[in-house]
Amino acid sequence: MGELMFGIELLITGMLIGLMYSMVALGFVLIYKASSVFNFAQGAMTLFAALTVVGLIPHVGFVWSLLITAVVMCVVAVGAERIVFRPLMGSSQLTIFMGTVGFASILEGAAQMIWGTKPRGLKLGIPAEPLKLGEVFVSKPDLISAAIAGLLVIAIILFFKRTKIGLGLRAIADDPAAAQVVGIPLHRVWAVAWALAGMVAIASGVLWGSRIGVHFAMSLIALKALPVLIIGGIDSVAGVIVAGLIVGAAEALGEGYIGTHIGGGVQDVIAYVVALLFLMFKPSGLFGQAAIQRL
Amino acid sequence: MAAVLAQRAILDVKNVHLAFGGVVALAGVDLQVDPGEIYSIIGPNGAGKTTMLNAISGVFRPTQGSIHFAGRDCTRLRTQHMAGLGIARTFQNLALFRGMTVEENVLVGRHALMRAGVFECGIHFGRARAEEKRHRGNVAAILEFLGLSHAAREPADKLPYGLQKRVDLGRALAVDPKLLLLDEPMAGMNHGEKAALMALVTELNRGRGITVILIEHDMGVVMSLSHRVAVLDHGVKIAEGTPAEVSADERVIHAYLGSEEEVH
Repeated sequence: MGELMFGIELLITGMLIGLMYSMVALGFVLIYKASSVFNFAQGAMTLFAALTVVGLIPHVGFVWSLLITAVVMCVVAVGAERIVFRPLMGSSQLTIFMGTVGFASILEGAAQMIWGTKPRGLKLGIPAEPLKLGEVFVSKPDLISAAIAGLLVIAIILFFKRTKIGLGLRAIADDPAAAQVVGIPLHRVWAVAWALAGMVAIASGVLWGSRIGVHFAMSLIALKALPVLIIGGIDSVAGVIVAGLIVGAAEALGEGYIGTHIGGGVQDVIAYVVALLFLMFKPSGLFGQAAIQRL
Repeated sequence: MAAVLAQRAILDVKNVHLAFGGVVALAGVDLQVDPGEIYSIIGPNGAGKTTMLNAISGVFRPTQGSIHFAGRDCTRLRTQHMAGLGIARTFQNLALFRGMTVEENVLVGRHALMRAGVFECGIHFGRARAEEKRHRGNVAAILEFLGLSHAAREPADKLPYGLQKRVDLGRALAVDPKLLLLDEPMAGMNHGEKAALMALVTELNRGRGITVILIEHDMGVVMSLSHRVAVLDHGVKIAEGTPAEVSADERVIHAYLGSEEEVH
């Protein structure tokens, strides 16, 4: 009985963290859906957003800090679209990908100049004691983070399904020429996609920052999203959610059952093992379109 | 003076030149399309027909010359503004949105006509809701007209080829076009599908007064549908007139049959 409860606890914790992976991966999906580019800078955007939030809190408080950061991220994201990516449109995918790598470096450099390199903590004021559901303990911060991540994911799904701009985004991703012929303004829609990716970066930055602290290793958070994107399919919102849950659960169960026998570190490996299996047997991911070109 | 022009031709293409690098695609083409007619552009492969459509729909800008639509100069307008003016087109090689259902593909065609912004749509009340209802109704009517109602919720790219061509047409109709540009709509269709599509085009033209510019290789289709036909060859208009006049024209016969001899 205790053994079973242990398993359930691992599964729940894993899936809660998994939702947070999904949220990070969602930033990639947004840009990919709009312009078929793997945005290497999503991790740097997350770091930049988290540093800005943390840096502003002592001056203006938490709520204002979030609002100001939202404006800053809009400016950064829309600026990147205009200055870096619009001139590159029509170039090869590899060229644009390198553009995103360059943009990531610029963002990290700017973050360092403005906020310094000292790691900072971020307290959201969520009580740390676990919640007891029957025999199972669940961490409150994990639960709340997962709830916020979940809401954000739902909001973005509704955006794609129900709004004019969301529909326009999907149209442009599928066929830019045909989309323009029916009157969809390419650049405005791209700008909205980048701004939304900026908002996802803030949410990821704050939620992950409260968990692991805000520091430069945060831009590596993209590495956590990578297996999720491979498993779910980089162009599928639904796929990314399911994949996040799978990765989170696999990590927690692997750490809990295998890690105790062969030592730690299993957590970091297992997501990539699962992703590798997908690459070998179902390279388009769970829900992705088969024709995606992989970089 | 402009007003006099506007009363006659709905589309007035004057002396349009277009070159890609050193390759001349259009070398001074004039076309006057009257409101309510079906105007076909024919010619051998590489004559510049699709380039002409692309110039009209703003994909390419002419290097010289002008294009007026309904009395308005749109030579330099971008593609994305053409839908708002009432120009719609279909594509030679299917350009459907693969990730979407049939219904969504057509709904995207309403984009230029949708007013409500992002947030309003998200909240989904009042004006936005009324607007969406109107657009969905419009889409349903188009699907019914095209005989696609049964497939509304299916992924567009899973339909048979002939029906996919209809979805392409449906998306163009969603724009509420005054001028419809059809780029080889019959290509790859069997006899029955062609006859059905011809009936639809005739209905759009006679019943709804939509002006049509048609590019088509099937001469039977061109001759029976068109009011007037223009013949392009090597980027130049070599003939224009009723189907009967054009098919009797010496230069046209030479352009179609003579080109074989030139090849050797």
